[in-house]
Amino acid sequence: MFTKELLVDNSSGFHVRVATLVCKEAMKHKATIRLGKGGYDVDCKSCLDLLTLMAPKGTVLTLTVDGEGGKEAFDAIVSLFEHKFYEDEFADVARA
Amino acid sequence: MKYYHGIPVSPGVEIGLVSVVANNNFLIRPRAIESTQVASELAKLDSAFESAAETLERRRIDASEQLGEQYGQIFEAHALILRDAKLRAQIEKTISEDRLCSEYAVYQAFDYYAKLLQGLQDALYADRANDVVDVRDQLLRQLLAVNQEVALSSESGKILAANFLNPSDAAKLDPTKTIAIVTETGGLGSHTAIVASALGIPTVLGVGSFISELYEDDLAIVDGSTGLLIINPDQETVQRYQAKKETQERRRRLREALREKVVVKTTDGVEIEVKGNIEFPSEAVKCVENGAAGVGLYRTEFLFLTSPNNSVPDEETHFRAYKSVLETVGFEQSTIIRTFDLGADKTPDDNTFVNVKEPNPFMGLRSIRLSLRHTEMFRSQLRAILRASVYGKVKIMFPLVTTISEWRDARAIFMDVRDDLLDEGVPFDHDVPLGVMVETPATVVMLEQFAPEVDFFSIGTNDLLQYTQAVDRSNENVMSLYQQESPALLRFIRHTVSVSNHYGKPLSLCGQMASMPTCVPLLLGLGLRSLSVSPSMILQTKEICESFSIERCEEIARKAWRFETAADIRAFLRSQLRAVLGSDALE
Repeated sequence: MFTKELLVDNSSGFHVRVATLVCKEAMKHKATIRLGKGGYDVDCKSCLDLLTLMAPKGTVLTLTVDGEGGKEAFDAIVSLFEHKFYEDEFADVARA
Repeated sequence: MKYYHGIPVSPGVEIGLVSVVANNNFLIRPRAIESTQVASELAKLDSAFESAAETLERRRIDASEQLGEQYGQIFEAHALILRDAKLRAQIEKTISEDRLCSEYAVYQAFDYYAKLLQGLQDALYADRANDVVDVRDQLLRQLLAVNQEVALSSESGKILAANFLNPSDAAKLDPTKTIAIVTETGGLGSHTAIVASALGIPTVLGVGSFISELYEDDLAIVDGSTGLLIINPDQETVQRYQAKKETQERRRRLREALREKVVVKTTDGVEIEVKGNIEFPSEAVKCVENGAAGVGLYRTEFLFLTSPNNSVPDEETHFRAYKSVLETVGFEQSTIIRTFDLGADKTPDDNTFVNVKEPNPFMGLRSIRLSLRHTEMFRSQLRAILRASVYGKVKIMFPLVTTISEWRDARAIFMDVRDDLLDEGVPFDHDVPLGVMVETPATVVMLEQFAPEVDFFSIGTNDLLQYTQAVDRSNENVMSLYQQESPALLRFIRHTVSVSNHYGKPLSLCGQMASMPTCVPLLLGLGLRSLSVSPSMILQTKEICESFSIERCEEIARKAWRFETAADIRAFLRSQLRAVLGSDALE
């Protein structure tokens, strides 16, 4: 089993597009992938469940991955968080 | 005449007759079924899911094509909700074990999530309930063969008034037919709001209960800028809003005309360059479409931050990206490529460059310091830029240069790379100008040292402000000190303008300040003639430049100079923009 605390670090938080991205990734893997905080955790393969996860910027979520191909699944989800869900691609404000 | 206030989500004024769509609920009852009917109910469910998936996929493609990729993604979430295995299992269980009809099973399963989401405190999350309801309704329409789409595609030239509007229904609206939208529920963060705004239909959501008081073909005014809905307005009010509508349309046409205009002039005939800041090659297209006078800042860090496993991008990766941007922008306008501005907040999380966690990263190994330490990486970037220079007019800019030695070291490496390419016989532009960014107080006060040696300067107000006020802009405890209208920053900008002019070196400003409409007249007044802004701000910035005279801008700068605080300056600048562009200039 793999587990890690992950910071939601993109400016708009764990919104619909992010949930979609995580869900799509989760569905590629066989392992059980769960995300949550404070005793409430959800199955990442359920987009609806992910949508109920309230996590604005700054929230720490716990990722738990278990089962076949767990390491790959774990790395893939961690990478999404680390890249802030590739959100900056749509950023429009100058950051010179 | 009756006034209602809602949430303004898409600007613009419209006056017209309303088309009323009372769509607040389907009538779903828990109808019991026989055990022999289970199989057929499940089959009905199957085909409903299939058709709904097809409908959503069509919407996704339509939205992507008409509005852009990110709008299409909204419907991708809907498709995933449809594929939610847990939800499907719950619905099938209600049918096969509880022996209830498929429409009720669907209604109940979705309702659980809709209520859960509505119950969350945050408005942004509560709005998600709309997406869930949208998907549910797609299924229910199939199951009940209800065709609400007919109701929504009402007669053309009318205002659509409904209890609520799903994002997918909004996406299907024809902006030439539906002139405005007003609903009882929904909010700013909802996808309906995003879609309506992308379609450019004036929209007010979340007005509260008003549908029951409305008759088909009542006259109404919708002001998508202020959130006002006026039902059965009197003659005088209609005239007032008619005038407002005309003013707005005039401004919109003016702005569209500016798209074609690369050379913009102030009312007293002074030419101003409005360029674009980009991060991704695709944004260069936006700059060209908006008639930018080139790319004033191409941030190359993304090549690093998006490369697989944060590996150092190779020369070919650099080359491909630069070639694509330069081919888009061409030779008539220039593209200023800024070398890696990595470090501080823009850094890979691993230990690629810094093997200890820096206690003070903004003062640490970042930007040009990092490039001068990791010269192999720096050299491959410079090689790639030079190689790409045959595809368009390119200039190179070094970030966060604080001493003359750093500038000379960077230039020396550039010259060395240049010699290599000459030896190898690789074609490139032999006159690529080199510039430095003015981003620290040290650079500003020592500018006369740099001026004889560099080809151009560019002020990066974000870092300059941060180092001037000694404030970490990402730290919310001190963020209030981070004001672009800082009187100290004003003085640094003015000094930079004076020195650049004295030495005849081109100067541009590419920080966030240039993208703030209120600051544009001030910057022109301080003597800047070239601004680089985010692509979405290009047209508006050009509009401002074309609306002010330099004389007036200088007067504004002189007055702003005398205010004691950033807050006073900001209030003054707002009043000035309003005075020239009208009271709705900041909407």
